[in-house]
Amino acid sequence: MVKLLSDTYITFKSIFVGMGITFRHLLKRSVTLQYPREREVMPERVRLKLDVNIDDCIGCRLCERACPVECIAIGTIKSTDDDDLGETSTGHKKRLWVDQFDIDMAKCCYCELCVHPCPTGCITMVEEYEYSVYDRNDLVYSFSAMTPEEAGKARVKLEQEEEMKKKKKEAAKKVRESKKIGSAPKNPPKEEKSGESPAGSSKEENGDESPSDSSKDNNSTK
Amino acid sequence: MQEFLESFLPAGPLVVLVFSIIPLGVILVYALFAIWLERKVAGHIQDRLGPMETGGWHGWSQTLADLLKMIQKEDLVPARADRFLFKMAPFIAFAASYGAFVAIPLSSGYIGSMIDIGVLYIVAITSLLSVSIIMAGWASNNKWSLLGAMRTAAQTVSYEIPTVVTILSVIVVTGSLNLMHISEMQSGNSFLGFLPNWLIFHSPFMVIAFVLFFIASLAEAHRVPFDLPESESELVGGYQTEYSGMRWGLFMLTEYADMLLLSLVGATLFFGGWNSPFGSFMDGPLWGAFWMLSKGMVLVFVMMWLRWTLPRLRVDQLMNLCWKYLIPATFVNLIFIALWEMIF
Repeated sequence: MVKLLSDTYITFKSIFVGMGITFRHLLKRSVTLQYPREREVMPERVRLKLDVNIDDCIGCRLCERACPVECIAIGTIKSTDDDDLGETSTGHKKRLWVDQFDIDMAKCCYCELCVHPCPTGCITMVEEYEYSVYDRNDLVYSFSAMTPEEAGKARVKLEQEEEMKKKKKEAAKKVRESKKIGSAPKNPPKEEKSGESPAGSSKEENGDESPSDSSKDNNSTK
Repeated sequence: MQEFLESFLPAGPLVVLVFSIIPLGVILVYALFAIWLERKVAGHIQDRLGPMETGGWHGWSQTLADLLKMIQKEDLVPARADRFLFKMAPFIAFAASYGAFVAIPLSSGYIGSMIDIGVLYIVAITSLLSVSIIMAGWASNNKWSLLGAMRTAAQTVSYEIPTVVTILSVIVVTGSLNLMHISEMQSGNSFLGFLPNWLIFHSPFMVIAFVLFFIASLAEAHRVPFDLPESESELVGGYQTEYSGMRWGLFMLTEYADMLLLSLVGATLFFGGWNSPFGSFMDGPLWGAFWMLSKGMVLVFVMMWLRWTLPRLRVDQLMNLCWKYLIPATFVNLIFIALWEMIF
């Protein structure tokens, strides 16, 4: 009988203690975050989506090389001597067209190793974590500002310039050789040049190119 | 109330219809509110928020949206099921708990029927509920449904005894089975000068009677910790397993209506029914309805509160509790109340 009563007492006591606990939780502030409207504040050095400020990129490929999973693909084209690509915001001179800067976020392992080598600080991790897509290929982000036509143009221009330089070099070589011999027949290479230039210069800029070319050429060879 | 309706409606069946439809409106609005409240209570006890989006303010119309969803759902009947019984069961279940509202005095001006055997009638007609649950379980032709239904049968048979005996101990005091008379008996503010003249303050044994009644009514309403007929985590929903759409919704409605019914019976028997707790202050038929329903809602809230506090009992523990503890306790309590009545 005593055991029965004490059991009953313990039962009711435990029920009331439990009810007290649940009632306290009923009044407590809930921990729910109303997600799309409220968001958690991210830690300062959070590692999330990669972002590239392409205006600051000098195409040095340090990030591409640092990446352990090879999720960054960079393609560059040398700029021709007449094109001034300007400077980055950090004062670095830009010498390369960056015609491709693709980051595959599906491969990215969020190690942030690509961020630190960048000399201009153009590749960063931004606080964005909602970029799920239906197709995996949509996770490849292209940051290059160049269209394929522009890239093609730059490439053609580079080829022309290189060819020209080659010819100049050859011409210079010949001049040197001829100087060594003694006689100086300067005419044949010059003729060649004048004969070639109209064929390659379908573009309107080519006319301006040839006079400035020689002056810049000296700078670049230095 | 009936005379009031007859004053502006043409007499005859229409008056009866409107008169009998009032509790239905109360039940439907209450069920919409109670299901929302249940979700909110569940959420906040677990430090969540519960529904927040539907309808703007704290998801108030979540249940309405659920109702619309349920109406659109397909009304499935399993191929091997007993079609007739399967389709009938939810209606009988709801009819049972709705029928019991006839004898409940919702306010001093409204009672469905002034039958003198009110409480007995309620106890009798709620037994029909377990019949319908067994019907549903048997007709579903499904192991889980049948198991749930069998548990219900055992549970109802066991727990009706303590319920009836606690009600009997109140009847010993009141001397009437009519709930309207019982409510009228509790009006006034005489007891000890400040407490309302409610039966729970009548004697210390009445408090025990109320606790016993509440435990038994939890089992009658199939609420946690006695929700073995459904026990969704072990029986896949028990007798409701094969039901879908509005038929399932009717079972849900019945469950909530049953909760309200037992809470209202408890409020009438122990907490003065439609009487105001402040004597004659805020008294009258409309305030009566307000007090009655708020007393019922408080008890419903306690049921929800308990749901998120206590774990479910095992089926043998359930029987153990009923036969070894509740039934002896109620009988002893009945004897003490009778003695108290004889002596004072």
